[in-house]
Amino acid sequence: MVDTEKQFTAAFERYADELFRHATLRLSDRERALDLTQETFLRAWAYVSRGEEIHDYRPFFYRTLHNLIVDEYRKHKTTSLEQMVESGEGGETVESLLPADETNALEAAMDRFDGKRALAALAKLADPYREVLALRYIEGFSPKEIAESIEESENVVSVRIHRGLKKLRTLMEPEAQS
Amino acid sequence: MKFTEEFKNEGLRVRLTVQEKATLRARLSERMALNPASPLVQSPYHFFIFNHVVLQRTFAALILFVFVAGSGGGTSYAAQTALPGDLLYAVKIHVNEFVEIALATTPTAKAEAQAVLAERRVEEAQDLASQGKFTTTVAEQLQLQLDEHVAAAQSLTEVLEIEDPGAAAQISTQLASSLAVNDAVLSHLGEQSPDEETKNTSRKFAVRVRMHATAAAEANKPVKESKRVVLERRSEPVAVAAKAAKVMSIAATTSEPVPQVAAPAPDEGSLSGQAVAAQLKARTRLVLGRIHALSLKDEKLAEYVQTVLASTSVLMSAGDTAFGAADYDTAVVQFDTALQSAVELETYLKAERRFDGALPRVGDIDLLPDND
Repeated sequence: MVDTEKQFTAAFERYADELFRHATLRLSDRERALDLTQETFLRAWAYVSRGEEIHDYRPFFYRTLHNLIVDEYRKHKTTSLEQMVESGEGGETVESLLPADETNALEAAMDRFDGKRALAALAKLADPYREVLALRYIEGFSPKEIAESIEESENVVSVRIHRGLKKLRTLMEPEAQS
Repeated sequence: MKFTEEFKNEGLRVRLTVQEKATLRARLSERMALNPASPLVQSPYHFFIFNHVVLQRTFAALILFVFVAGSGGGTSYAAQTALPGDLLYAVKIHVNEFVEIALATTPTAKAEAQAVLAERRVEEAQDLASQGKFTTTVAEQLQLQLDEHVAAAQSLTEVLEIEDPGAAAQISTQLASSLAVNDAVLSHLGEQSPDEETKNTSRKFAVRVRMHATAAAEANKPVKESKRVVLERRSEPVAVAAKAAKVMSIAATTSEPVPQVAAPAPDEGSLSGQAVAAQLKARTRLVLGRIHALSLKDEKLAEYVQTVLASTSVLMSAGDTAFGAADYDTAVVQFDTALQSAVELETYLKAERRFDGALPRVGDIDLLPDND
């Protein structure tokens, strides 16, 4: 087997599960997730087989998958995604200037919540938040790695994580103080 | 953090079924067969010409011919110390190691070859770490290679276990022990590096190596089996004594003849246990021989070596005694522990030699992992 093929196959074995998992968490639809995971690998192979180099498979796969997911949402015209993307990260609000340590405090406050319920609540969040929360807390990406994978700045990523956690908390405890 | 742990664990439950993964794999293979990688695709190490399969095989055959003819290949010898990033690294991998694997014809030799290659990848990582050149990109590639070789060694040993459990056992022990020490060495070199990227990459890579070391030890079925038997037997004397006491008390109250306490049935696996013990002993002696042959300048180090050798020789004697008494399971455990000690020591000494001064002096930090 040619070296490239060996490496690609090894990368498949290594990342297939986590990519599928990520797709499922983003789409809440196992069938579609399976299709998109397959599509991710096929596209990546097309890229590699025509002579392009992939230095780091993991972010490459995630980027490809992310683009496919965004297309998926656009197809189904879910307005919440557009809304969130437009209004959420557009202007500088007081919230966006919050430092990252507030996130740790949030995490600590969430300690009394059940992880299982939290996962169910995740499905109710808009996609941009689902994405960063899943990457951060389930796949274990650092904010820097997330930034690389979804092609946003680290700042945007931190803010999105923070907001995502807040919204998650609100979903799980309707009577929570803001 | 409780929340984040639970959240993560719940999330990790989502996974592909075996069926689903197999389907994905099949579709991907199909596509890869339909659209193969262009032969002029650059290898990660930019020595693209060697990706051309035909050329590779021709060159390898040439090298093999030269090898066999005994005149030695200049290029391939120089390539032996190449690191990822060097021009000659591609020769090392695609020619030298290609030949190494090709020369391994028996199942034992094949498993051995893969284990050696796995160890070599870790040594390369160490060299890069000590030079501060261990980038994330290179680490990814090395890790893929390492994973492959370990997986290959593991599956080959699994098959080998059926026919030649002794060979399988010594390869597994050797691999687990050398990886464990090399993981510690890599961690240390990474920590010492002034380069941030090298530091982080070394740490991550070392974790991976440690994982493989543990897995290799876990997969060592012949030794595990003997350990199990020995442990079980330790609780047996109590059971046997209790049974004997019961029999005696029955005899005291009746006039019936005392039934004999049945002697334990001969161990079914005793034949293979004998072979395993013998092979583990042989390998240990081999490694010890190599250690003895090393001349050590540092007195403190020489002292340390003597101490380890002394304890190893105690283990060997215990093994011999058990072997002589046909207690092959105990012999296996003793010889295996001796082999672990010997391999750990040899691996440390080899690393010491390569990174003279960079490794902690023996006695300052305990570099060798604990024996479980």
